[in-house]
Amino acid sequence: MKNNPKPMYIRTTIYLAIITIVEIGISYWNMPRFNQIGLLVTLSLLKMAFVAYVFMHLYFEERILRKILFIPIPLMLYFLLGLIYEARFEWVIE
Amino acid sequence: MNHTITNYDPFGNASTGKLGMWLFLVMDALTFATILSGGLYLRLRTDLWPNAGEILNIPLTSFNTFLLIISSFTMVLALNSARSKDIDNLKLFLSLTILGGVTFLGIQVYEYGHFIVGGPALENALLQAGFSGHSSLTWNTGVYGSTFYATTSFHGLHVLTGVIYLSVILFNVSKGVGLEAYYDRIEIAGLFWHFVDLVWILVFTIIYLI
Repeated sequence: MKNNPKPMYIRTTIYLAIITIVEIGISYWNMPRFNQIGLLVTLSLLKMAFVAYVFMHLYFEERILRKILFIPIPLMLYFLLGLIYEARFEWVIE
Repeated sequence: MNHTITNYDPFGNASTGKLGMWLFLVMDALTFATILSGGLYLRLRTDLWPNAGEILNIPLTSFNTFLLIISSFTMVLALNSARSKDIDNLKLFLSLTILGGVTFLGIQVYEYGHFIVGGPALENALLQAGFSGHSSLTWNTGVYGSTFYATTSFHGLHVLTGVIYLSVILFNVSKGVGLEAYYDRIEIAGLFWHFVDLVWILVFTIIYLI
């Protein structure tokens, strides 16, 4: 880790605040729903990455720890896609 | 023939306590993912779901979001102070982090109180959103009410746990515990606190903004 990570923490906090302001603006902005949801989810994932990598020091951890932590994410996305698919389409079994 | 056995640790300098906290956080993240996915599923299955800002107070909750971001910042500063053995600043930043958490909880309690007590303005907003005959937003106000309270209260319990956890750390630091041995525990508590912030980012987006 850097000897003095304070400037990096300050920058990250400012980025998080700016992204939050942008998110709030997007939520009030009248735009196609699909684009709005896509933008908001992308920005929130970016914020989560900042918190995990900088504040939780994941960036400085060993690669194997990062791999272990990221393994459940594809499984979760698979589960989520399955749920959305199930919610939108009804199957009729005769 | 000489054999050299090197003490190789694939996790580097991470302590067992830190690895344990990371694994707990992964499990906790999956619990949150299940709650949020369930909410999303219910939302897709029902037509009665208000738009962002129709019922929920976005400015107030945005303030709460900034509060958690700042408390995460004060938490890393506390850890930084612990690393440089600056006890006064460690106590100051831990106290500020706890204050941020308590204020967050206070605002959440105010929000819940406002919704549960209700009133003409809320009744009108609920009516416009399609919830006729409801003067307050409670657990029973359709699937929307259940999803809102299940998600936000589960996160709120995490904030409460974080506040208690950090208060115990602050108490021990104030008692004069040796920072050399205690640094790891402060870092582990910090991981939990940042996780609370990380999850709120997603809860705020999915419940309040979308």
